[in-house]
Amino acid sequence: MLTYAEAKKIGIRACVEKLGRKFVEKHKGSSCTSYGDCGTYASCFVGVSDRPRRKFPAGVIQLSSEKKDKLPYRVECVVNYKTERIHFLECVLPPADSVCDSESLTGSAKV
Amino acid sequence: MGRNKIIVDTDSIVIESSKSQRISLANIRNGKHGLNARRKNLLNKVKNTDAWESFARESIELIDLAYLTASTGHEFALLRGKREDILFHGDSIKCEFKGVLFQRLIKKELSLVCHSHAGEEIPQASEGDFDALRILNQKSSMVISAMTGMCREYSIEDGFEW
Repeated sequence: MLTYAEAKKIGIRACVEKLGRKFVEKHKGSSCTSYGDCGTYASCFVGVSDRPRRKFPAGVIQLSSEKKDKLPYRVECVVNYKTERIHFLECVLPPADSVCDSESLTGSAKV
Repeated sequence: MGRNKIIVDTDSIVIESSKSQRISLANIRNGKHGLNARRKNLLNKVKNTDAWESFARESIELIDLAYLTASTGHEFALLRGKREDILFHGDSIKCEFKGVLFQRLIKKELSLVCHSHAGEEIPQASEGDFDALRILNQKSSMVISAMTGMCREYSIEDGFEW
């Protein structure tokens, strides 16, 4: 049985590996994570942008949920505390020559 | 080179937020129920888009943002200072901090505690949400779903554990 902290670590690592470690490392300054405890599983997210950093209008900070503002490359997964299985919910991956990863969408935390 | 885009159906995963909370939020969204008196009072203080109001510190709960969003379809944000909570009313797709709030955030008199997303079961912070953290030099914040009440922390990653 995993704790939230353990599952979060596993999930984030799985997301990074799905995106490609080299790709994430290359864009370290624009890599972002998100995670939450959902009772029986941890939800984990890693996003990367290779776009120029957006500039807000002067004197404005904006939080946006528009689809166009989603991170261009992102992986979302959940890690079950009991089964320790990873289930990928969304994978928007960088071009193939930027990363080499497996094609599997489910996996075990122990792999 | 095209992107590889694979989306696994989320239907195969039961989003296990509190069922009663999901139902409660849905009832607010579809007009079956109204906000409770306390949340009605909060909304009355910030009726319009870009309105904000100061409250006692730690008097606003993260789930309040979800209910206010479920009621209005608009995003809400919670900012927190040393002695106050500030509730901010955004619009359907964004919260935009200008003027006094912008200045106080930049000066770190306020921190961005949480904001709500209207249409996502699992709230996913946007590129702009992360950029806001960078501008504010704030490591993390929270985002909550007005559909499920699920709350997630999002963070500027300064290094992964390889």
